[in-house]
Amino acid sequence: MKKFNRIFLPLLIIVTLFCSYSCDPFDDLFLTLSMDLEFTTSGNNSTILIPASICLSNFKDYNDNQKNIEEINYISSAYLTLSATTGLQGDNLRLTFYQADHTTILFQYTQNHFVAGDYVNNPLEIVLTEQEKASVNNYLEEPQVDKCFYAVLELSNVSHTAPQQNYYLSSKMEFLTKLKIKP
Amino acid sequence: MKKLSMILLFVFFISSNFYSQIGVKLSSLQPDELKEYIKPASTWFGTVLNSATYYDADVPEVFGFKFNVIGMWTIVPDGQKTFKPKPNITGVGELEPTATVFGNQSSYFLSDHGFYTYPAGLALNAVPSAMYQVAGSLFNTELMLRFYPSTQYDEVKVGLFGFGIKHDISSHIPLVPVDISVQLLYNHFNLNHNNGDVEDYTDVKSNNIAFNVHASKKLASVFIVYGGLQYESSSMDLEYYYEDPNNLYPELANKNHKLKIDGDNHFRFTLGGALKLGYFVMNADVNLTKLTTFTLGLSLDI
Repeated sequence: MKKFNRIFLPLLIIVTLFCSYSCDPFDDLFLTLSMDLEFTTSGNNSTILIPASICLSNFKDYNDNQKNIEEINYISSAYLTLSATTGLQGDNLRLTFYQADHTTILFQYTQNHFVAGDYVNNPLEIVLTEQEKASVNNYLEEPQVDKCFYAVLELSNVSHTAPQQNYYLSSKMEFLTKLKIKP
Repeated sequence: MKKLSMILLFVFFISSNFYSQIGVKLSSLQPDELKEYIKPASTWFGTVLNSATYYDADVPEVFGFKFNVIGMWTIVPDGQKTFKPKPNITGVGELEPTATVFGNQSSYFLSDHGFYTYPAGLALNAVPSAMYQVAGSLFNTELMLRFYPSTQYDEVKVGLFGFGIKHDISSHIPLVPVDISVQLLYNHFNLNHNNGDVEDYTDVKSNNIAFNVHASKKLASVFIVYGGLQYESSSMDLEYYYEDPNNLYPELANKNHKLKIDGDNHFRFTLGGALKLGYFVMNADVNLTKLTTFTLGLSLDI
């Protein structure tokens, strides 16, 4: 009996320890996907209206894992000016994010007065309400189906201080999501 | 023979898999954060390469020979899956923990140039690997060797060299009821990724040493019960290219960096059992250390 214990006690300890750990070596993977929508325009109109669109399938991380994505959730978004005419400003900045049908609004961000230069190397974080987040997340359900977004940047009473008549604006919106990928 | 080589190279499969998934993303981590990200891999190398080096403390006085094939299963605890990122950037506050090389969930922050997202890891709960080794003994002393020549697989070149020297000290102590040996180990693993693109360059050299005292007892002439205590240390020399995609650290950007990353390997306790039938031995053991590792070995023991 003593001999039996000597032989099987280490074996029992090894088996117990092994079984107490997960035998599945792979865990769910959560990838953070940053999507950029670029808004670029030039002209001399008093109103700016720049459309942009993007699809999940524009991104390698999505395409590489499409079949195994279980969930996509909105995290955050931000606006940045990349470059703009000196003193470019306007009233009622409106950033509207639509579903691919161009009519169903997912969220809308507004700001009474906008100076483009304020957001060069100083991004404007766009904080959504819980309802807006839910709206985006609902749209992102069935993540294995590619989803597209349509966005519009609008600005009225545009003015600038540069000597030339025309202005230009190059900016982007970053849209951050989290992809849950099953092994 | 080719098939056999493929099986024995499983350990390298893990390494090259490791590279293919995260290699391109290492270049987005600044050196201080990369050290934290990769440290669990250094610990893993130290754990795996210092495992499965004995199943019997009895070393014969006359000539002996062993050939072992070992499979290993290393558990990755939660503590090795994340680290606390500390970007040296004004205005960025406390961040959520982010994935290490073994982790599954990455963090982010909003920098002056937009969102910076940390890379995710391999999302592993456990890491399987394998190894082969040969050993010869004489005068109660055994020399063990592990060798795989530096070999190119597409863009990745890998190689391994290791040795262990062991002496049966119980052969000098009469009437001792168990066999007792001491063993010194050194293992070196290297991996180089070079596809001609400077941004993708990565070079890894893992150096591992260990010293152990182990004891075994033969029962009914076919069973062996064994255990040991091992002191060990590991370090990894890593050279990589830092790209700085968000333009956060211009002074560090667009050049190669050489880092030394110490693994979290200090002590381990090993407990195992073996079944010896003629010239064949099957053994299993558990190594209780930072990354608990189970091994299963099949050996030819003459």
